[in-house]
Amino acid sequence: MATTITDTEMFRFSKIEKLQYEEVNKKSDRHDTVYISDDILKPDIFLNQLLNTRSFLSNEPWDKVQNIHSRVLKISKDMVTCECLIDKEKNIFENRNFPKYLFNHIEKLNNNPYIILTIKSKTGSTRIDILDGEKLVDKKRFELKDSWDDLEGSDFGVPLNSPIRL
Amino acid sequence: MNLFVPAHQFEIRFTNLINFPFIIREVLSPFVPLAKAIQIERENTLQARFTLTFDTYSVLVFWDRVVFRFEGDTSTLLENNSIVEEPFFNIFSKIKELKDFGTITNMLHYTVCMNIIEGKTKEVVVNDFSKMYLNESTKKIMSNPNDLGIILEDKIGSIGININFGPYTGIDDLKNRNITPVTDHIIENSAKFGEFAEIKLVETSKIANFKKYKELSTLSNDYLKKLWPQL
Repeated sequence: MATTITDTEMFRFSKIEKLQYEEVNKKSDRHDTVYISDDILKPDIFLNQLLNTRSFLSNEPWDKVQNIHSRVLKISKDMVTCECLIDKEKNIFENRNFPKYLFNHIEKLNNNPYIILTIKSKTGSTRIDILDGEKLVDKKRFELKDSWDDLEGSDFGVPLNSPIRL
Repeated sequence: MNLFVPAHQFEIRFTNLINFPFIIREVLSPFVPLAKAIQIERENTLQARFTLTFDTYSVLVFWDRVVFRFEGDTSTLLENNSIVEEPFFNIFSKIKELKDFGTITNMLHYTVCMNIIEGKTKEVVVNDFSKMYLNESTKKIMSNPNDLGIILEDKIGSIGININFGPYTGIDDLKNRNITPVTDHIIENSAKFGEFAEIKLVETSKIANFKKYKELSTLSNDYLKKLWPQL
């Protein structure tokens, strides 16, 4: 299609950004083929080649990525229950369970820390990353939910059946 | 028929943050663990640019705008907790919380789409497009152009609309727009031919949130469906 508009607002990759993408991809070998030479039979070279493929695997493409604000709610022997904010507009929370070993790197797990759940998925596979969310999670939403939970059972919904005597 | 999005960009523009170089690091630092790389250009100047690069998207922060760039299936971006909502809108909300933040001026929603038609040559896609859209008047000017495009513009309420479409005549259509795809399946298909569309929406609004993004995306998709109803 003929290019007819020149607009600085439009999508532009500057040379620097291109270099940056190339640099990132170069580091990760994202689009590179792993070339196998004749020296492959030497054990040390083979090991190096094998290790080089690790970054390639960690950069596999995913169809969908979700970053979910969460709070650790309960810890059992093998599982951790997280309170996940699945809909920010409607303030919908959902409790989800994950294997405890995914949280081994989170400090003070017993203090109900805030975390970010990064869930990457594609047909036939998914990957979950747990990140410290102390400075990222919108804590006010969780605190608001706590306030509403505290009100539960307060009978605010029962209508008055007699006039209030002043 | 195969639809690909080699470039999608969403920008929120705001009044200039005069002390931007001094306050932005604190805002962006918590997001660094999520990112694959971070780049700072023109450091300590008002025109400083911070680029957070993720897998198939990046977030750029300037003193007057934040920019989300993506390539791939844009339908996944409309789901709750998508990468637009977190980290992009979270970064923007942190900037908005700064005491020096002024007001939002406008938003840009920009999408480039390729509809690859397998087995067709460049000449065939240009010819097909000419037959469908050109009439006798335009043929008098140039009877057999080797490339062409149509621009439609409108303004609905506070949204300015600019649609530029035509035949997709190969990788040059992307190069001319400085678009460099990084996703394998888009790179593979960029050498083929088909149809091409750029949809640009500019909304002058003081409110920028994920709901607004979804509204603009829906509008953009509606135009795409009208353009290529067979999709």
